[in-house]
Amino acid sequence: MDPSDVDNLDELLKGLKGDPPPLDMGFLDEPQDAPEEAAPQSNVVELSQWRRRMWAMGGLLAAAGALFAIWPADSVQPGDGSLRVRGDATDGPVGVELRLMVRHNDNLERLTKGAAVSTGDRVYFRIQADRPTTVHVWADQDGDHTPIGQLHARPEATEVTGASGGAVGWAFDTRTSVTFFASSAGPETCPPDACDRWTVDVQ
Amino acid sequence: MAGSNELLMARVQQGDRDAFRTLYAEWRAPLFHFLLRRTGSRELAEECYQDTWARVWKSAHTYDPRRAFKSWLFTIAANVGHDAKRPVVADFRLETTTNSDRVEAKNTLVVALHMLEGRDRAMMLLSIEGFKPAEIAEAFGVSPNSVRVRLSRARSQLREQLLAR
Repeated sequence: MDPSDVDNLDELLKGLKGDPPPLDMGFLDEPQDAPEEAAPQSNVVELSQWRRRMWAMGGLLAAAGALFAIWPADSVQPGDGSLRVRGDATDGPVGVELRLMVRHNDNLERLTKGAAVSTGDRVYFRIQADRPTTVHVWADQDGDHTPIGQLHARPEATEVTGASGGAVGWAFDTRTSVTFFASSAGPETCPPDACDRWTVDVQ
Repeated sequence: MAGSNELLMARVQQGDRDAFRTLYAEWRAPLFHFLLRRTGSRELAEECYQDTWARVWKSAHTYDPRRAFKSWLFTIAANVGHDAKRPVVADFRLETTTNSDRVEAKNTLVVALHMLEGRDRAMMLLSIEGFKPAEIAEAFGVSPNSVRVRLSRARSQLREQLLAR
């Protein structure tokens, strides 16, 4: 993109417009929500007592939870005498989901698995992980591995920005088949429980 | 002194449907443009648009007449749909134009915009709508300083993304 365009960022953003859809005003026939009224004094006292009880119960539950968490995971403690943390969330592989957006002609659309793309199309990548982790993204075309980038993935969808790897998308120049991988297990390692893959046929 | 929008909203609080329709006619386009940029998806923007206007009507009692109507409206729009936890995909169809360079630039912009963290994106879009950092801070329950930091970071990330393409 032309640097002079980027200098005028606000104007560029304001240029993103579309016609508003018709509004279904059926809600005008529904009653408006009423303002909440202050609770009578007697209820306030009861509520505050109830809250104290809930705090006390919460404290007991929290203490029980903490005791459960640090309780030895097995009947026998580890040889070094340390305590294991039961159900440690950092254990095990981290599931990863890879999704692709394809830019075809002037439109950006979500690509569905199995759908073909055309030469001249370009795809962009979105990653989600079961929990925060580093995910490696690469492409495999005719046996050639091409790193696309790595990023810190989260349970919320994250775009591959190429912050580490340089690429932000993939352009298809010829008819071919490309498989894209996203893995939390490391670069070019794709175990089923920590990796997702898409094969895109270019027609 | 309250402006016409604020006076109309005070009437909406009394259940005045005509006042609601007048506000809607004035703000429908700016609101939808904001939602389109925020969500990057026409389908999602349409859902949020419907939901925002329904909340304006249903929750009219929460409006404080001392506050600008525009701020209240866009605060709802900036937060509506957050609980849906649906992925945001830049898939809305751009305006028809014969200038392919322009379409290319807009596509690039949509993708770059959606690489920003959701809250940063919403804050930046409010900023270009003319909201001051203090107003944005109120909408998101953070400090004005935090808004300035996020805006600065978002703009520089967006520039980097655009220049890289």
